[in-house]
Amino acid sequence: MGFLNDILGLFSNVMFISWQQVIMWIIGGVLIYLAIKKDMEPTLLLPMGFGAILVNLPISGAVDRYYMNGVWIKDLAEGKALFEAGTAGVTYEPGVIDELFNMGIANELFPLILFIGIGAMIDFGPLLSNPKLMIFGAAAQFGIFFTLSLASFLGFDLKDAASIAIIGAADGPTSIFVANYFGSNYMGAIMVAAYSYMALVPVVQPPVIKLLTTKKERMIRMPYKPANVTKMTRILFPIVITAITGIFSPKSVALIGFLMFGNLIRECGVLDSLSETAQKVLANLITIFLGITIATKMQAEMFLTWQTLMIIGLGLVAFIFDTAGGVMVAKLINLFLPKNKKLNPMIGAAGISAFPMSARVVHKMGLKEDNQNFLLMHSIGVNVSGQIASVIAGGLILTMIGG
Amino acid sequence: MFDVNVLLSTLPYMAKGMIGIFVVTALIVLSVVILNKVTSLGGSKNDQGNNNNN
Repeated sequence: MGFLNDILGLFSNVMFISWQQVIMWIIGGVLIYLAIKKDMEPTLLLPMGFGAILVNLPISGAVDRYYMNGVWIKDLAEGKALFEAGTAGVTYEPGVIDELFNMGIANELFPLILFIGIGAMIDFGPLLSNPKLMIFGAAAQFGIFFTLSLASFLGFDLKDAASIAIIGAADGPTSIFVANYFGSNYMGAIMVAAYSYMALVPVVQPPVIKLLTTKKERMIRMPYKPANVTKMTRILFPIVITAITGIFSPKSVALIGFLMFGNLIRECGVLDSLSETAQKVLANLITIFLGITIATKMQAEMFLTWQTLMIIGLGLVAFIFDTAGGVMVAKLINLFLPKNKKLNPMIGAAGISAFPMSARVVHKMGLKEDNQNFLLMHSIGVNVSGQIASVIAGGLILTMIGG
Repeated sequence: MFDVNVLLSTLPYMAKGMIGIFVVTALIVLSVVILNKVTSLGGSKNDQGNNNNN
């Protein structure tokens, strides 16, 4: 009998499975499905999906656990509070994913290192060739500030509203950096929304663009006449951008600095092997850990709330108003341009940072209206400017709200 | 929830944020224009294409 009880005891963990955890397994499975079958941001959604299952197993050894006299405390927040208050009999076992979170995300290390890789991947040539395109990168950050107000209106406190709004940066590392800076409780939901909408840019943007433009506007052709960009300009650009942005938005120095450091490695011409490592090995390594580490914020008790649904909705609003901001500013500028110099307002939509999906969307929409309308180089220029603008927007939010 | 006063109190952030981002962007545009002018005067090698291994 004792032997039988011992055997049954091995499976006692089954008793701790909750319906909320089962829902999180399904959500994890959906993320993995979207990553593999639909090719939606697989580098992030797959680790996040697997991580969501991992951290939602009963008494998961992957995340921090608290015990009262050897009995697991189901409520994570309660266990943590009791442990921190020094309650007698309360013990703590660290989990590897929480350890990774403390080492790599709580101190903002992972998103910043990832930015070196992203900086090394970006060719700012089309932007340097036509710097005026940066205006659209700025305009397409409107969704961030609109969502900040809307999230506050819906009851989120200002710092959580700012963390949610930054989904509109369409830039994962910036979203992680800002949400972590503000200590947001909704980081898991924010990350899922940010990366999902980045993958859904080809679905989200076209209806908004079509709604705001006429067929005639979408057919406007823009000849591409690239200006010469010297190697010296390419080398000085990351240094100058870091200095300017750092002076006016000091809290974005780390973000823009690491992005531009990566770009300087790329453009200097003498560090090709480092550039290649940053683009591939470094970026891949960090991405592996980033996705699975974020999953610690996808534990059922934190994730399955009404707020998560609201955050998913607010993320969509941010992307829609980013797109609208870019398109509307292009239309506004067109009012002052001569008839033969009009801009195709669709390129404004590429100002969101989702690179290169947004540029491709605009290019394809141009071709759909007129098969000789090639907007790719313009939209790529706007799209890379969105990368810089989203970091500046993140820095401004930190400066204004972070105090 | 649904507090209009909170909404109104966040509008200055929207205004300051958008003005801020346009000002910084305008400075960057200006600096790139100056960079392009100065470096092209210096006779640096043109490099319109991608210059590395990517």
